[in-house]
Amino acid sequence: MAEKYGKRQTAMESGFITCHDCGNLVRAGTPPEVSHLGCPRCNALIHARKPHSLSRTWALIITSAVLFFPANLLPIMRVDFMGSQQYSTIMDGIFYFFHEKEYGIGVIIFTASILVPFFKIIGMTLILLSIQFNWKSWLRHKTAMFHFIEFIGRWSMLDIFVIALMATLVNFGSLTSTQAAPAASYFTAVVLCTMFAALTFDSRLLWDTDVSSP
Amino acid sequence: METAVIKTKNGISPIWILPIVAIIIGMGLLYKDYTESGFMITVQIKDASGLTAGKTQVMFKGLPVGILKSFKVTPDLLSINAEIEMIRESEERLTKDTKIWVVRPEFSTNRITGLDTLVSGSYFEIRPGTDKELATFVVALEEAPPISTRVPGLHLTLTTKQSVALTPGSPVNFKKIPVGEIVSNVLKNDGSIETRILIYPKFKSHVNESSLFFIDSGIKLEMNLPKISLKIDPLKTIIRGGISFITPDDNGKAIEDTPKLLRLYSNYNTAIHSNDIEIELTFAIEHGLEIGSEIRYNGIKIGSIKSMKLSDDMTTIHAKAYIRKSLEHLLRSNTYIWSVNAKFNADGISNLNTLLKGAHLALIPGDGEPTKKFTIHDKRPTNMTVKDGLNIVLETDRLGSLGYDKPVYFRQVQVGHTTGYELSPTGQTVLIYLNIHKPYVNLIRENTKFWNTSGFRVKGGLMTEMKISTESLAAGIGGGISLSTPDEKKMGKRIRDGHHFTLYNDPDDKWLNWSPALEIGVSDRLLKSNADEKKHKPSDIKLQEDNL
Repeated sequence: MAEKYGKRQTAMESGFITCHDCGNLVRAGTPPEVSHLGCPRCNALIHARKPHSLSRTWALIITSAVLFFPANLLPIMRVDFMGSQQYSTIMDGIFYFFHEKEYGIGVIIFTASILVPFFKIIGMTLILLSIQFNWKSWLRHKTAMFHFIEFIGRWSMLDIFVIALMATLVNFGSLTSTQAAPAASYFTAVVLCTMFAALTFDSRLLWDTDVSSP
Repeated sequence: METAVIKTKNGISPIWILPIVAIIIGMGLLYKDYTESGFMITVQIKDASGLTAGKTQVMFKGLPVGILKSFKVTPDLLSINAEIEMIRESEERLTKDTKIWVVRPEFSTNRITGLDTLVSGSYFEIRPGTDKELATFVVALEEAPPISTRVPGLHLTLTTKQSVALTPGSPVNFKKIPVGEIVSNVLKNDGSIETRILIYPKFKSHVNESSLFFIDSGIKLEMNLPKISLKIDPLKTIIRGGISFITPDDNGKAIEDTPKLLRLYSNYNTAIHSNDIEIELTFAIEHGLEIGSEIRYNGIKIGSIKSMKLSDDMTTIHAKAYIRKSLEHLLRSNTYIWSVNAKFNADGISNLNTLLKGAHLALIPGDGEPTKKFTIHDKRPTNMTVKDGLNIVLETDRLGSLGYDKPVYFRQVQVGHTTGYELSPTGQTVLIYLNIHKPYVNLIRENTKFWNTSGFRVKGGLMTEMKISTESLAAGIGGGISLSTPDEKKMGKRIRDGHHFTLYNDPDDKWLNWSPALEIGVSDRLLKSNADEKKHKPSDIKLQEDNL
């Protein structure tokens, strides 16, 4: 099964570790223990794999999955107009734009705010599960998916930026003002957690399952 | 190549705090949602325009206490059931008599309300009830209910038969300052209108039992020559109408919340006259009197004509007039009332002021039985007795140019005036009534001579010495009476009221030379004899100034 990727001998198996910072290839002994090694060139900590990568990523993904619900169910923005308060959730905004026939903006907001965080959580969960349970199929696709998730992650902050801008710009005292509502914090937390999850995750772990398998 | 140093580290990664915190937050939110989730009530409304499911709020004193979740038309298609989620705290107050109504913007000529709904959209307003029984189904009111009597302040009910253009929410003014508001108007079966008003607590002390409520007329033009006054109420009152009140007696008995009906007068004038005595007057048509003509006593206004009506036989006019309550004792069976008009005749011009102000009525109180019906005379009374001084009667064969208010001179100094004249009962002489003013009473003795100084006296003839004399120019033209009293020995005793003298046409020359020494001035001893005979009448007529 592993043969189809055509690689047999890995650096780790040979007792080598690359430094994360300077890329220096270091001999670490075979097999490298779960331990802390220092890079002789740049003095950074080196590991064969990112430490606790799996559990940290799990923790962050679970956090974001939990927070994903309040982020979407609670109102994210409050608009005070002439003394009357109006709360809107993310979906309210998307409905509003579709209702107003602004499909482009609607799609962008839907993609950036709902689809991408959702996709990230589902994707990361899938990757983590496949490592956890040694699922060895679609490894290349999973890697590609991970890189996509890593890349797209920053765009999820679009919503937060919009609200931050609105809150500062649309503020005319009692006439009309815009404020962030509770969901904004949860949404920020979701996006941050998914981004950190992508950071803490070591994509080589995917391939380790392939290698370490009999 | 160096060999890496081996370090070991065990234990659970602290990163797991994150999902735990997230789960705690999530649980917290769930719990909060559960505890704060409201309960559903159904409100039956007639019209759902302007209401949006999920947006329309239920407001209580300006704070949201519920939100409209959905609509459903009732199966009979007559009304709409609105499903409303109320906050949990309101559950115990949502009783059977809870009032809910929809607030919508309202523009009309007399008021603009619900402006806030223009931007926020219509909303439900709720007023909790006091009932014990809880309810989850409420029929919405068509419009905002009147202010509850539980609102602090003074709740009064006014009644009027007039048609009034007063809308709830219009102000109740005191000295043009809003101190309350109109709560509701109810048309009663007998055609009267009951208006409930609320006086705000801090203005409660301005209302007492003497307070008179009247409808603000907005613009009031009073054309009462020579005074023209234009009163314009605040614009708000002109547009919305309103009620004002006056409190004539600041120390009146305090008034409490009472179901007792208070009169609502149609305007300020009827309000201030509300305590006045109404009298009936009858007079001939050509008096020049009109509604509003004044009734005066000693030149001071004491009342006015309220209404006039032609009698059935078209010969007389029946009028109703107000007289101040404090002057009730003036109204006696022999009280004399006559009309005063401008007059131009050889006598001169009299009552000039009536030219501008119109005719008025003058009154001389009598001492008979109290009455409220009077006939208006077209002339002043024959004899207007003056209480002070000495009243005497002169007899003469003809009146000449004498009349009312002609001067009586002593050494060309006026010491009295004529108060009236009439034919003697037999018609043989004219009786002229005189009043000698108080300080000069002592001048009049039994043998005092009176003569007519009207016109010019020409003595002698063209060929002899000619003497033209007159007392004064005024007396020469207008007429007058002179008097002279003999010297001490011949002057005689002092006389009493009503003594008769003869009025001569010309003075005897020796009269003019009399020069008695008589005490002038007010002295108790001198006046005693007069005072004893006079009936003492209360003269403590107090003309209260309007304290408005």
